Amino acid sequence: MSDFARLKEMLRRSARDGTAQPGRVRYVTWSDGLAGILEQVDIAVVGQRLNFEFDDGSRLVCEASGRRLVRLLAPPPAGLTAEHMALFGRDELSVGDVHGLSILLRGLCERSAGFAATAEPLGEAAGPVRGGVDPGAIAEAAGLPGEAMPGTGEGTAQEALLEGLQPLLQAVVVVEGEEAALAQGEGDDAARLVDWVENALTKLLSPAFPLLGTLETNGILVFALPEGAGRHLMVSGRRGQLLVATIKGCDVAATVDLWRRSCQGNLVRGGGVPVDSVRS
Amino acid sequence: MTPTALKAFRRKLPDCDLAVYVDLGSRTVLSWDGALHFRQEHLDVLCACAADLFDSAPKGDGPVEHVLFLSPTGSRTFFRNLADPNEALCCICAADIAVGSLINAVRAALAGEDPAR
Repeated sequence: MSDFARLKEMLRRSARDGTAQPGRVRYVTWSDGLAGILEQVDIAVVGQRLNFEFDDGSRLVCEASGRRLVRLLAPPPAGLTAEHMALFGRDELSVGDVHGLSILLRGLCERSAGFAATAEPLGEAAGPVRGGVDPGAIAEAAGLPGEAMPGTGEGTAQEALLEGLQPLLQAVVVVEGEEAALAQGEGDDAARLVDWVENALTKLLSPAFPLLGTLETNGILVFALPEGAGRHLMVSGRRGQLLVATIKGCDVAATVDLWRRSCQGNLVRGGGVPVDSVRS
Repeated sequence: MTPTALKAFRRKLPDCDLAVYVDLGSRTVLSWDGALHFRQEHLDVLCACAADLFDSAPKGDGPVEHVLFLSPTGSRTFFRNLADPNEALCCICAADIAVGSLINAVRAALAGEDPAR
């Protein structure tokens, strides 16, 4: 997978609503059913109690938070092995449980052809989550086909922004929570950007910075470097995920216009420069 | 920039609701002009944001001239006075302000004034 493809995959996750989308799911193969369950987990940014009522009468209740499967609530569905029953009622699931979870969830899906999902927010009852299991890891352990993996779906506004900027991108870092990952770039460009994110950007990502909330909910921050630098910096936010990029050239207005077209749908008014003409 | 200069600057930019000239070093509001009366606390926060943004800007290539912050509901833009890098002009404008025109207007305003005198 190329850097750019990996970056787009990371961004897809930020396009979700952040809350589970309950409803009835019908499926033909177990993999579609499992993908449906993991999808609910993957979009649960805030704490959610997810309830799956399978066609065969089995019932699975779990809690998800931070896009991770945190715990399975007792009682377990009937007909499980002792190993799988031990996954229920635990304080928090962990990475070591991935294999067991993949078999358990696959088994539940194989026994049915559909389920009804409901979700309720955990609210203040949800404490901080330290563990939990990434739904992508469960999907991988279960051998889910690539297209059914959580996080794959239609493109997002952030992706459209990146597509427009791609010829000019020198380096990209994605910041999620307290973690930052270099998603594109190498050499000096990447080193400079990573250094800036680690050292200088922390002040702007502190809760004390008054504009942080706005930045994280569909805002953009552009630093115009001196012309001699031949590049500018962009920090674009969406649902708590920040995209930090070094962009070739000094045309910050074009970057803003592209962001408006991709992420805001605003028309560029008089004085704006058509992005296509700048980017070509 | 004097309040008169800020008023003249805003007159050319109808989408600019507030223009504030600040000292970045002391984080002090030097002058301002707005479509509405803005409380001093509001001006101080904008001034602090400007100082934090320029403090956080990459340093290796020389002083950053401007920092643009846009959201679906509005824009806050911060322009350093390159003739006196400790001072900056902060603007609150409509969300869809034409950024290129704004940059040109600010550069002209900063170049045409004897800042903060």
